[in-house]
Amino acid sequence: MALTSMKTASHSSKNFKVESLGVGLGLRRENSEDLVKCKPSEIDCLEVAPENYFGTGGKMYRQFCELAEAYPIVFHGISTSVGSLKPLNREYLENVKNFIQPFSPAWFSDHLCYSSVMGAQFHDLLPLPFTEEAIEHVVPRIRQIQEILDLPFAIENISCYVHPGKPEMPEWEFVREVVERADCGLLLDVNNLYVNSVNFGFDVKEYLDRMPMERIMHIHVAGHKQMDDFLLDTHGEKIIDPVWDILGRVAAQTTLPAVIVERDNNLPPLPEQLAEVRMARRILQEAGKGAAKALGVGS
Amino acid sequence: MSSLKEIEAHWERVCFDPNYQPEGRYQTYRELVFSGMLDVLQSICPVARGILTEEEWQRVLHEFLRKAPPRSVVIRQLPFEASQYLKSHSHCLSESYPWLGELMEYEYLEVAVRFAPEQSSVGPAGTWSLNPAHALGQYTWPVHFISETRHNPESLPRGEYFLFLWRHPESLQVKFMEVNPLVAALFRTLQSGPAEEGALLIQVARSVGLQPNPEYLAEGADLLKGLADKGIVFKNG
Repeated sequence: MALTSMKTASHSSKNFKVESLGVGLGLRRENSEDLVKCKPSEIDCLEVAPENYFGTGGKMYRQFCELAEAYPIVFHGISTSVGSLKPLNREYLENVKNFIQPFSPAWFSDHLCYSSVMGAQFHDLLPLPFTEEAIEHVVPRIRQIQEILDLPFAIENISCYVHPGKPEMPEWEFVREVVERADCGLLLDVNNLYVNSVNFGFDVKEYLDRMPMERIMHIHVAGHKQMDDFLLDTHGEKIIDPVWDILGRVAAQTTLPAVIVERDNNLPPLPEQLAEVRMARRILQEAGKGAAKALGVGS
Repeated sequence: MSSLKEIEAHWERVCFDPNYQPEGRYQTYRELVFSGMLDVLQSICPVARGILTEEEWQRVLHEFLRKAPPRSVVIRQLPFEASQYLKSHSHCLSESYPWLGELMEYEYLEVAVRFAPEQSSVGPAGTWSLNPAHALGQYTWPVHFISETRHNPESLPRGEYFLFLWRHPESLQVKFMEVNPLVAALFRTLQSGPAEEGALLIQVARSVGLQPNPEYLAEGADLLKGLADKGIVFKNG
């Protein structure tokens, strides 16, 4: 589907009037060559971590440039570390800004977590405590990120296996308070939501009912692994029906500017990745609202 | 543990302090962070990984993470950070594998060159420039000969080794060659910017104490043509 055929979805808040980019796939080193060869029509957009391309050239960069000509790019960072006590890494944010600006992105996103402490990088996403102190800490940092990038920013709910510290509130309240007080967008990862609901025994419906749906700018759909006594978020397995069901529920309630099938590990052949993209689109169509409606492909 | 300060300190211990034993699912985080980094290091440094035992590999990397936790947000720079720690510090494998830091740096350089940016320094017409996608490593061990079957320090002649890696501008393949100190000096001079052939060769000769006589200048001109054929240098048009 050509970008030009899409309608524009906009949120009520001035910060969230973002162009609808449709359904896409996370661009990874493992799938970029196949995507360049096929440029599949099932995909409306691609999601890219800018860190992977800072100061690069060569084959992978050329593939990215070719794909950026063919598809709109959604930029999704992994290193902002909004939870860290150390001041924001301005050099990183300036690099992000310089890298993404030529593509005129409608927004940027990263995770509600620690990705580093005291400047030491985990190269992973570690959970924050669900406390008032944490909210008061991350809210001004998110506002600062939006100012530096001069772009709307969406924060993503992460999967977790522990609650560091004693939670003062449920996860939905923590996430909602952060996005509302920071006046930012929400990147809702429906797999992370499912994983956490099983690991911590909460009700997905209650979580969604309490979320400010109008702030959802971006959705991730992904897979996880069943361990002996908990779910491990691998983003490396097939997406299961309960996760698809959450996507359907969310799509039935609001417009979704971008829905990304996100596979970080264990990438299957491209046709299998595209089958999940088609599945996401079918769910949006069936929902009869949301992104599918905004894209003109609704039921 | 409830304040953000305490929680940060705890995460740091969970992920980077091998002497701390995390409880419950915190152990899952330790394993995820460590295995994620191991995967990257293993994929970029397969020769080093192939020589060390699993126990040695994990021990030395735990030491690196504890003493010099990674700072770069770019994960493919992790092997470079590890190599710089191992090159500049006495570590737990210094006696058995004294070349480990140099080998890991050399393996990393291949990836660095593969991803190097393409913008070239364009100079005045007729001057020579160096292909920007390159790296010049200088080692005291013959890291290019180290393998699973040849790594005993006693069998490896120590010396001064200059290894040049470059990405061919058309095939985009990364290649390497060992060069002598004179050619290394030529590359170092060109790293500071484009240069006119005569001035370049004279500057290089002086930097290594050679007399730039006509024979040397003729050989230097041939050398530059040969390097141009390999895609290492180019003449600005």
